Amino acid sequence: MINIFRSCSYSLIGLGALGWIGILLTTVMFAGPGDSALTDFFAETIIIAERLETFDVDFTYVADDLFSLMAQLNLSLLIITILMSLGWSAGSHYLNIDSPGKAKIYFIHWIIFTGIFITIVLGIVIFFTQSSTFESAQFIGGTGMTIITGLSLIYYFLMYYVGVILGTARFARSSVLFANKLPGNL
Amino acid sequence: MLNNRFLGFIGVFLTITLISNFTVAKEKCSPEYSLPEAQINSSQENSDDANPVFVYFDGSLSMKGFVVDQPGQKNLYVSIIDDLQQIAENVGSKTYYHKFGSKVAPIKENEIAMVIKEGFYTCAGNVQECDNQHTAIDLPFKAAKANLDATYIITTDLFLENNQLVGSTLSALTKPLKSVLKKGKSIGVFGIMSSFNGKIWGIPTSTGATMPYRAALTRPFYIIVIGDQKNINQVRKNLEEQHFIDGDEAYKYALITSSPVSQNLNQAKILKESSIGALSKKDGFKFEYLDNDLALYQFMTTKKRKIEIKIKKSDFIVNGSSGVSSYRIEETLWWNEEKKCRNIKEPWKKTNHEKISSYKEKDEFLYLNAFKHAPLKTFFSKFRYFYLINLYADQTGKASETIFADWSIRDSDAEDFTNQNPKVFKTLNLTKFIKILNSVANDTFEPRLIASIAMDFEVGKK
Amino acid sequence: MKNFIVGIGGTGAKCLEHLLHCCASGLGPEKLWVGMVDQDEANGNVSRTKVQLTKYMNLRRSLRDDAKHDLSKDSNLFKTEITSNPDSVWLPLGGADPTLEQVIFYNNLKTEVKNLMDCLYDPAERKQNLSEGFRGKPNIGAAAMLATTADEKDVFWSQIYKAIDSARGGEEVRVFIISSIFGGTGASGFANIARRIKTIQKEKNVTTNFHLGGALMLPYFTYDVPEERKEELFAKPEEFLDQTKWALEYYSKLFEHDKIFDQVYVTGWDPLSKLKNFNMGGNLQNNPPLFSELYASLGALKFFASENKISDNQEIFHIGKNDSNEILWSDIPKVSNSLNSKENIAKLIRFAFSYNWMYAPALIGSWSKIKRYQNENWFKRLVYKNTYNNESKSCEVGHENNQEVVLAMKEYCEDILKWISDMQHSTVLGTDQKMNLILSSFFSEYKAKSTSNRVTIKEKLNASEKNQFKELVSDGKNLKLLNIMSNICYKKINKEQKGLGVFMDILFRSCEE
Repeated sequence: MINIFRSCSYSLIGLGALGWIGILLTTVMFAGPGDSALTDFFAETIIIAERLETFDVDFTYVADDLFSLMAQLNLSLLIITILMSLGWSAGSHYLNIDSPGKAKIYFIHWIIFTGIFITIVLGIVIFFTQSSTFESAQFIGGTGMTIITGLSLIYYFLMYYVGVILGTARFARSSVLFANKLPGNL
Repeated sequence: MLNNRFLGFIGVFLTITLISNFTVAKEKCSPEYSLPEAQINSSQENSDDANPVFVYFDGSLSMKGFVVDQPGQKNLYVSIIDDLQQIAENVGSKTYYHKFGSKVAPIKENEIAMVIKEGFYTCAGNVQECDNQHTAIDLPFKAAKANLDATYIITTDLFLENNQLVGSTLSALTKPLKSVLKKGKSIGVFGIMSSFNGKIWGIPTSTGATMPYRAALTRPFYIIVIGDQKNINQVRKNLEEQHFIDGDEAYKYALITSSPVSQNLNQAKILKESSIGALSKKDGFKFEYLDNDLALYQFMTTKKRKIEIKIKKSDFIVNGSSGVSSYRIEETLWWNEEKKCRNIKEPWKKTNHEKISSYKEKDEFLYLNAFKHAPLKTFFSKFRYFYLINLYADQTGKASETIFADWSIRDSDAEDFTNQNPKVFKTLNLTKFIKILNSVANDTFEPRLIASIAMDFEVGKK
Repeated sequence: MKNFIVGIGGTGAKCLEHLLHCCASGLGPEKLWVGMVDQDEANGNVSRTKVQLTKYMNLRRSLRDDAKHDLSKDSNLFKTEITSNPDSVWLPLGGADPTLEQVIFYNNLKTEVKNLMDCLYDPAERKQNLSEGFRGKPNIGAAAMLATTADEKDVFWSQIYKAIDSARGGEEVRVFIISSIFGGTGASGFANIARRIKTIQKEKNVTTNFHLGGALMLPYFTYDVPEERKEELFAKPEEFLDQTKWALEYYSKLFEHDKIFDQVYVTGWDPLSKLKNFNMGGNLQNNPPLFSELYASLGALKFFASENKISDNQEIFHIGKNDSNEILWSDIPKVSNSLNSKENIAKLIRFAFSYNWMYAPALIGSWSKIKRYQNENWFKRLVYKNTYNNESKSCEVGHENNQEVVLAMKEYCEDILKWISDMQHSTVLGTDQKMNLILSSFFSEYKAKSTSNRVTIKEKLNASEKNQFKELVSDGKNLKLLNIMSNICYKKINKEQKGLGVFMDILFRSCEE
């Protein structure tokens, strides 16, 4: 049990290394739009500016809701990333790696698990930005959608990956790509 | 006791207020807009006293063959001319008869019966005086300009050479017609295929000269009626009732007018719930005419819906007229952040759409494809929208050209056509003449508001 | 403290075999000198114990080398530093084919002494070839031993003399002897050797710091003698009980009048274990390890334990198993409060299993074969780092010297597994008793009638057999190979450990819950 706690702690450290950005971003977004580079970025890149112009809709009309949407999106992604990373870190201790050379076999399991994680991240992004649940999602343009999806996938995958690399049980490290390069006593 | 009554009153008042709040499907509120005036065709209904009828009979030699029976052929000319007097007198208060050819001469009443005799078409004067081959059709038209309240009935074979349809001759033709049409008058053209036994003069040849033709058994003659649509319709009705009850290939009719729009659909309350199609059956749908006659549709729609308003052309196009060849849509779209009227504090904002809807014609219907160029999927479900369309008739139609097309022969084709020894002869440059009439009608045409439609709606999330 | 143990006869040798494995598991004292006494030099049991002793000492030497491989002082694996003479076995009667007549110089005896000898020994006994032991005749053995023990120059006895001298010097010395109360060499040697040691102690005026202990094995096995051999001279099982009875009477009087031993450990077995093979002696007398012998060895280790305070009064301890027919782990006593025999032995068995089938195959071979594991955590932190040569910039686990250690340990692990399997099967064979201390059927095969290879261990195990590891030791601990893998990756490495000693010790420590 103590080893599992240790793994989870390392995982949290790994998550924190990149996660602070997500936390900061989420906090800023929950605070709402202000006169900042982030607001400008949304106004110029994320939203469907052309269509809004056609309707003569000013960005201020949609900014609040949009920020709230993005904050909730990032919060959900943060939570799922933390859960999945901790889940793998703890679960790796229960992989049946009982002899030398067996850890590599579980690479497939890790790939599948990671695939599920990416699918969930993608699903969450699509749910927030494409479904009819959030009205402000309709203001996000194609480019914005691509940017949000791409950045979310990259950022949260990296966060998850660092968490998993550090948190995976020592004997299971060969199942995670490049995790076995870590020092043996870490 | 007073307190109880007072409390009871308050309770009733509150109940009514609450109920009314719940029962209203959608509150009405709209941006500030202005509706254009519906210019109704003023069919000035003058009294019979001020509505004389002037009848002009084409007395040119080519017309003579109409009054000579052709064995085996029906002579409609004689029977119609016979009735024309009575028809004319039905239309107006007083009827004046004339004969025209190269010039116009009045005919006394007792001489009217001569119109169906051969002698009416011969000239007693010298050759120069009796140029019976020339029909100065512009002369009765000129007369028509003089008294715009009158009705003018002109019978002629409309056998016009090219040189009569160009230059100053054309101008002489079109100028009076312009005035007539500008004043809201119309021109009814009746074409009747009748038996013919005689010579047709003035058939152009390739050499520039003309030649006659004797072998035709039938050829059309025309009755041109200039005046109010009402009177033209009266003539038409009489003619058709008396001679063409069962529909006849020998008969053609076209109405040339600068105001083909018979009525405004809003004033006539033609537009209905069902005009918008299946959308009217959806929950939350409401349709009504506002105080200013604006037809208002209120609904909630999905982004995938296609909205189409179906209008029957006969509801607004004058029967028999050339119709409308093109329409114009003036439209404005507003949106508001608040969906509930009571929450609307900020003014409605106009969008920058250049084009939102379009129309298409199919068979007897005009379809207004709302949001064809600005699909509903581009709308935001966050807002409430108000959309105002004003539909105008932008240009008159050219239906009459097609009606008479098969009775027309061009100058250049006339010689060859004649050399074929046709039994049914055609009218020289008839289509060209009709085109000229249409052109004049179009020049004098002013766009007319057919309908004003408003949509107060919200778009769903999907 | 100096510790000496002498196993007398075949039983003594067998008890020493158990003791070696117990010392490998960390139950033994810091240091121990081991010797055996048996006239039957080629005795199978003695030979087996000799070989085992050599393996133990060699392996321990390899793994307790400061320069190369070091398990470190704190490691319990092969904890006891066992030493012995170059020839660990002392033959009371040397020479080829000695007889009693030769030993007592019968032909040179006076007539009356000769006559006395005739009364005590019949001609057959006097002329019996003693090269294969005393054939269950303690009377012969006693006479022979009395004639030959206590030669200070003898390599074997010099150790005893040195031990007693150490005691005089102030160092605590404990000597323990094990033998059977029945049979030949053991029965004759136990009392005589003990008394001889006591005599030397008195001669050297050593009154303190010297303690003598002993384990007496009462009858615990039997065997069927073929009809055609019944007339020959050898230890007859039907005589064991009578011999025991007389011997106990003797010892009772002896202990009453003379405090020879400080502590005596007595044990036996009922019903007697039935041995399938009858052999009078020599290398064919290769009896299987039996459970009660473990009691004797544990008694010895208890005697040597530092917590064991030896009183001035003679103490006699006896032990037996529980009343039921089943032998359980709870029947194995602790060596001391800090040394739990059950746990250590179970740990050793698990270590032997996991090393033999899981890890040794990964460590055997050249580097080109082994290097596939180089990225695995256990290998990286326990093997690679500790066998890496900075000069050649390579991992040398595949080199001959390291491979020798790997293979030697594998062989020792096989011996442990064979020992415990053999003991389990042989103890209850032919009786109503049951012993399921371990589950051995999935990794070994037992042939009762085979003399040399009763137990054969499988070369490889398949996945389902490996999965049965958690049931290997029926001590109620749900330890899986997965847990061991996890443990070896997380156990802290002792800074003093070196080379392959790191991995071996971590693996050993990982085999407990």
